[in-house]
Amino acid sequence: MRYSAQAFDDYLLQKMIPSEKRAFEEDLAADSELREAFEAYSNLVGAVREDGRQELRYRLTRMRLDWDKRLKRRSWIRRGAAVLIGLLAVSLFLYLSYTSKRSPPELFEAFYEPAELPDSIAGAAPFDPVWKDFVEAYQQGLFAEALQVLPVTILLEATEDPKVWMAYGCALIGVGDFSRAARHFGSPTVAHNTFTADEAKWYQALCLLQLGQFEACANLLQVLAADPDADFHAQAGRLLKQVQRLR
Amino acid sequence: MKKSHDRAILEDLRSPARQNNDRAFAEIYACHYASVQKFITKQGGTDEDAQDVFQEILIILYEKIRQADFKLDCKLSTYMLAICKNIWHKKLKRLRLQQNIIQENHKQSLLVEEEAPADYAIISDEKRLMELLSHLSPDCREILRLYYFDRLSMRQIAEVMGYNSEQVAKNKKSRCMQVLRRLVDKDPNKTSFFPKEDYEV
Repeated sequence: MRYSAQAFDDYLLQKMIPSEKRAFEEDLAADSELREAFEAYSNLVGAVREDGRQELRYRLTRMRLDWDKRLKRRSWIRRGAAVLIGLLAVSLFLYLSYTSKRSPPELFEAFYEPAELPDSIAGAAPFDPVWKDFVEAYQQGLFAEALQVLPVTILLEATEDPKVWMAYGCALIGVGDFSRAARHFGSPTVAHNTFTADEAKWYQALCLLQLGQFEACANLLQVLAADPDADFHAQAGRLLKQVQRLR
Repeated sequence: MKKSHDRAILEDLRSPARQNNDRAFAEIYACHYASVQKFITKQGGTDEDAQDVFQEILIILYEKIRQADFKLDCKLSTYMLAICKNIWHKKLKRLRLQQNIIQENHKQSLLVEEEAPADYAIISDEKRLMELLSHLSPDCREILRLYYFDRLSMRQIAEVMGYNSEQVAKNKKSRCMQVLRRLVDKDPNKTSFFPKEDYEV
């Protein structure tokens, strides 16, 4: 059987249907002359395909220079965009942290920490039942009970450790009595004591904040913030900024 | 990479228009070159090796995609990495073989008369055929490439080459093939690539 160039092409380009392909392969196996002719033809086609590959290789090499340029440009754009997004995020964060208004209770929660009772009081407690009960109740957070066992008159007159005054005020805060607490921290004995003056101002300011007396609160905070040696100096500065926004 | 993105790339690669092919190549380069480069350098290759391998991947992909029975069952990146591994392992194998031959030749160079390996004959045949192709007119060479390498239909070839009809393209292609065969016939160095007298084709 004779085959045309078209048949060779159809076989090489996979255009034959399965039955044609099978018949062609059978003929190829049986006819050595056909086999040789086909081999020669497919060598030519192979060479044309190799020529196509070479041409594509050449094209790709030329294009690669352009791609590299584009890729570099793209990576610079990406980097630039990342930096820009980063800057925007930081600015947004800073803007929000400076402009956001927090409510007084939120600020109080963020800044308030109850005064700790000094070891000297805890050590003295076993000898005096009144102190003992106060210390135990305060340390357990039972502020109402603590206040019952230690009337303020006894407190201010009897104790020589002003830290207890702080604890007493914090017990008042613990029961939610902010006006009494503010008065306690502002009383002359507490407020003018060398050891407790700064701490008293700080707690009084927090109580005034809860009571909505922002002006008075800010005045106390300003005193602490202006004095770098004062206790609570840094916290006072931060809280002052927030309180000024509330005013 | 999304499947729809892969599909768009393959469509562009399958298109008869060169600009679409080039767009697909550029997109593949942008999306997949880094992973190929990573693989090759991890295997001890250089950036230059990675570029060579990547170019071969593109050529194989281009040829495969134009075959009638080609079907992509996985992600393009997976497919490309499989080709990459294959090319790289073949390259390593070839390199090792070459090194062995060099070492062997070095040992026996003075004792044994060198014989060219049988592969040389095939390579020189291919080279000779390629040279003969360069004697074709640019149009002829292009038509044959479009038909056998790019696997375009006669209608598509007519469009690309600006011929009036499919028949013109068909006649032109037949004539170009005849010219090539005649060039081969006349070639004094023709060897195994054209074994016997002309068969009726």
